[in-house]
Amino acid sequence: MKRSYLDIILFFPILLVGICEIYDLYQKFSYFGIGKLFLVVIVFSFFYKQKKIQKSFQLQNEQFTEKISRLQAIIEQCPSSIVITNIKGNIEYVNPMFSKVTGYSREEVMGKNPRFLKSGETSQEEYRTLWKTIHSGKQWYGQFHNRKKNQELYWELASISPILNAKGHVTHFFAIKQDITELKKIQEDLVNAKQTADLANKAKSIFLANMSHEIRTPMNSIIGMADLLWETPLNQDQKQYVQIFRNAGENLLNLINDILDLSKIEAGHCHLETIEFDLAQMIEQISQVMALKAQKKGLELLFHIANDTPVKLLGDPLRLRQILINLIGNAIKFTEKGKILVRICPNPQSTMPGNLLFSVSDTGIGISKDKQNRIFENFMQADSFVGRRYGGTGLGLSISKKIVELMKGRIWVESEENHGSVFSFTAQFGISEMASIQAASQKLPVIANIGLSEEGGRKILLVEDSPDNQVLMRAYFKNLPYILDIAENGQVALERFRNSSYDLILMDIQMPVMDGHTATKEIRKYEAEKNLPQTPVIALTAYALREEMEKCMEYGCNAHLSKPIKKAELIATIEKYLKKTKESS
Amino acid sequence: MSADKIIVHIDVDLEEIVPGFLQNKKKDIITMQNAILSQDFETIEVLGHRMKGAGGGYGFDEISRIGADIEKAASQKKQEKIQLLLQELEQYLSCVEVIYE
Repeated sequence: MKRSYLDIILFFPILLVGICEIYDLYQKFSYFGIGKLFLVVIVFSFFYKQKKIQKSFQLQNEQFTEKISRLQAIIEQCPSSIVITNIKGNIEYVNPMFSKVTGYSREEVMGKNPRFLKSGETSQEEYRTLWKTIHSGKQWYGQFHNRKKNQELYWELASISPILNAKGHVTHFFAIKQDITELKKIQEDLVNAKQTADLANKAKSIFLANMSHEIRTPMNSIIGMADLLWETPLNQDQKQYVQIFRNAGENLLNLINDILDLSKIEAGHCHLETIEFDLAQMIEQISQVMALKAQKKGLELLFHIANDTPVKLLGDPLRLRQILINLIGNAIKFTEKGKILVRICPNPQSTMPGNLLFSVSDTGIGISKDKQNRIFENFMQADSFVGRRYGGTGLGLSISKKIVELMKGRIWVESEENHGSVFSFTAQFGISEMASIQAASQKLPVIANIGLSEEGGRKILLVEDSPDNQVLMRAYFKNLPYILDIAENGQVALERFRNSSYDLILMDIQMPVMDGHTATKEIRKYEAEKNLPQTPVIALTAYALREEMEKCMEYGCNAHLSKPIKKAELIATIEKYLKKTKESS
Repeated sequence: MSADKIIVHIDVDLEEIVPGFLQNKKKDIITMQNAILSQDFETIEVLGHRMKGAGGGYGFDEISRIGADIEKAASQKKQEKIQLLLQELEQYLSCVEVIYE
């Protein structure tokens, strides 16, 4: 028996997909038969291949269509408006949200330029920038104030980007836009609300300022009457009552003044002065006032001005003084023992000349961390207990803060409970043209050297703090053969006197630092120590009282002239005493 | 007080310094008004005192008188009184006319 088998293995493309087996049970295959069979298999496999390829195409196609329809669904259902235009700007696609927002259907807008939405509210300049940006291949963000089909205006936030082809050329523009009309409205409402609130606050401040002024007038009468009452004969009880009456009145007046001050600043009525002043001199004045208060409580009050601090400044000395007095006053109030140190130096955080750092440190009760920020707010004290125990309005720091801000500075506190506080503030001042940086601590007493430089003239020392009187005296002495030196207070006069010799001294009595009485006494003491002849001292006072004149004589003055001083009288007196010394020598 | 001119005769020697003095008084008014705001009666007292001392010397007895009153009002912290006096001073300064002889 003869049998034939033929197996053909089928691959597609490299996978084994089947075996085609042909066999003949009775005879051997003829070559012709094998050839025919091959042909059949080839034809079969060709169709098989075709079918397979078709199937895979179909699959790919299906996947692609699915992807596209997903993307389309996203764009169609997107909660933002989407517009695609060609390079000329004509619309090729809009999504349903666009129609919903604008009221225009897709058919109405196809092929049109989106400028039909323009309301005229968006500036031409804006459109020019838009086109310039997107034509250069960049993205543009911005807002449009557009008009709907029903003529209603609306705001939209838009981002427009160019779509590039494989070669990098712009083919389309793609805009995605969000309706922000509601948001805009809320924003506007907020701005309006803030304006209304500011106006109301300002009105409140103006009202307070006016009211405070109105309250002050009768308050002054009340306090004035209480003062008068105090001076009448009273029994012990009445005295106590009137004293309480006066104290309460003073406290109330202080409170009203604080409120007036604060409301003035808040109402924008407070303008800083720009005048020349001497910081060192101002500190000296403050130290005189505050040292008394500190002394009463047994506290030490120290001032330190760093050497490189400019002292000839341009600014508002009264307001600066107000802040310093407030901070030093607080330090004294809240400190039972120890010392208060006031430091002034150029602000190390700033390179601006005239930007100074002030700090007032104490050894008092301190302020806990959580209350440190609150104390600069209106009417806030560290806690109500402090208010009850120490009194005060709680406005001082708030006023100081506002003034510091007007001076382009800031104020802050560092403190630990029971370990004292350091209040610091910075402020910007101008530097006076006259001044170079002066070593404040090495500053020499100011002594004006005025008069004739003629040799042999008699030397007269004028001790006078009032600039007007200095000028007046200089005028009086203009054509007289005297050399006039001027010292601005008793202390300076004393130093001057010890280093030089004078033929006569004109001594004002009421002066800061050292008054005329003390200066005269010291001069007499010095002369006695050094065994020098007594220099005539003529007191110049504004007191015309007999007791006052006697007091002058008691302290060692030779004569007394009452202000206003007339030239003739002055010259006569000077000549009389110079003649006397000449005769006696 | 009338707004008429107030004539003051002053020594010709003082011609150079009188305008400066009057100018200083105008500045003093501003300083004192600010001092009232900051309750700084001490400054007002000092300025009043100086005004009292200098006014008559220059030939303005009226300025001395106002200065004395300001000094007194400041020592008693009488704000309204100081305000009135400053107004008076301002009025005086605007009306005064100096003849040098």
